[in-house]
Amino acid sequence: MEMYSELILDLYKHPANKGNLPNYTVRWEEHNPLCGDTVAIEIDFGKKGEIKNIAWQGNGCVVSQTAASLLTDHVKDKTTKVAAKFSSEEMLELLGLTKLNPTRLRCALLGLKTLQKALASYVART
Amino acid sequence: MYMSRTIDKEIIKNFTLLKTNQSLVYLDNAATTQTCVAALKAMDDYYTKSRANIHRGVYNLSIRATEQYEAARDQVASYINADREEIIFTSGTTHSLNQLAYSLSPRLSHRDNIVLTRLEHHANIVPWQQMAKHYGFTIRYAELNKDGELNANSFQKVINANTKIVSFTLVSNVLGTVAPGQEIIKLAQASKAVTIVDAAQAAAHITLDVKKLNCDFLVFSGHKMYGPTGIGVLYGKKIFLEEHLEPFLFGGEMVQSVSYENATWAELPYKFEAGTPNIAGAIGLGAAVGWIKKAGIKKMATQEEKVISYAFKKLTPLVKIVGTRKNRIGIISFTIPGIHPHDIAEVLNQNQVCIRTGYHCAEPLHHHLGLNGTARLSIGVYNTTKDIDALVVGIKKVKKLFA
Repeated sequence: MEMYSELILDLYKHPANKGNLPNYTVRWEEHNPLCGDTVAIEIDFGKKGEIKNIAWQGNGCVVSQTAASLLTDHVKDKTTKVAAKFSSEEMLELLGLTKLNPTRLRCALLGLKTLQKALASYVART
Repeated sequence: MYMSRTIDKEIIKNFTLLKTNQSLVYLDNAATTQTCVAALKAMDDYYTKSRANIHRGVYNLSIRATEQYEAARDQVASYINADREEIIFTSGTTHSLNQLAYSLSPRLSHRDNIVLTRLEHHANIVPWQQMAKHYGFTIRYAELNKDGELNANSFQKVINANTKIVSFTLVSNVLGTVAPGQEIIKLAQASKAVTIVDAAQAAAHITLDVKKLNCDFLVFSGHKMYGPTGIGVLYGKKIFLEEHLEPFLFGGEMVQSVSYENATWAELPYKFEAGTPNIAGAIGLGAAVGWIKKAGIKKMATQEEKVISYAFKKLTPLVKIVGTRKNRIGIISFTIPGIHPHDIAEVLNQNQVCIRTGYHCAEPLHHHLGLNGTARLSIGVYNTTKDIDALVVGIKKVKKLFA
């Protein structure tokens, strides 16, 4: 039952960093074609390339949506370089769900995939 | 309880997986059904007693294998009231529909259109989209009425003199609604359109009669009718197969004579079965069809109707059911506001209840209905009201968890 722990369910009902930024440098959206889950991430970068502000929108299952909350919280204030190194394993650890089946793994990593693409598009631009 | 314990046991006996996992509640029959013992045994017999290639050997073993394979064709033909030469074995409905799209589209031009419906499975949309890009014809979609059903009116609005093909699903894999096949086919034929019936969701649940339907083609899969995976059927009217349809795959078995320069085709149905076919699969399907006939499809349908009625009654106060009760067999798709279908299925899985979630290979229909995925239960002959009770317990648990 760890997937539906109180912590995760609470974060699902009261997500962190969910919404839109008044100003952002990049916006990237990804979806999971299998189940229709979406996550869009907006990032406002600081002068030194740090993640000054980050927000996300989306809809989907508990796993994809709480992952987005946790991930955006985790990378806030980090440099692009450090944030880009955040791995799939670390994402699962952050979620506390390390024994996911392949279908749910895609849900868990949707936010991370979105972040990575957003960061890459920022790096390509600068 | 609608079903007496004895009938319950009588049916379960035919499904090893369910018999040995009595706490499992399998409600994903629209995706695939469990395989009946008759099919398993027939395939096992082929592999252990008659294993040889067909139509090739003069030795007894090969002759026995050929007889079994052709007997399966007879079984399937009589199941849908077709002639044996009209039954082509394919790998399944998707293969059959792709074959028809590839084979029928070259005669279409940019002036022509084909008619599909809002309900279609991806397998009856994507092949046509690809062909449309190549040959320039347009695709028109028959609309659903306010109850989410197809009727003659849906087709009257889109069929015109330039409609060359009408291809539609007889039973929706999302809504479970049954389309008025005969009426639709009559309308299509008034415009001289070729008619294709996707019977994947119908084959195990309603009586199929191609002569009564009068369709030009009808396709279905073995694995959705208690048979094995990897085998399906493409039925075509003899005149069509003989005069209008060219072979799709070329190779062994489908030829009459080959030189280094040219080849001529074998007679029906062999000209459409290139290469060594799925012999065991066909034999398994033949046995599954035999088993359905013996069990009685009408009797099975009556039992399924009881279970689906019960499910409708029990689920109505708990979830949002897509579509209405009318004209529906075997399938209920639903949503619970605020809870993603994946999470519904995950919690149900913890109770050993198997349901499908997502788009069910009908993404356009979901978007058309404004749905971002649904949860779906679909029943088979072995499901009872007890299974629905287990589902209801699971759904209550989901709702409590997310309250």
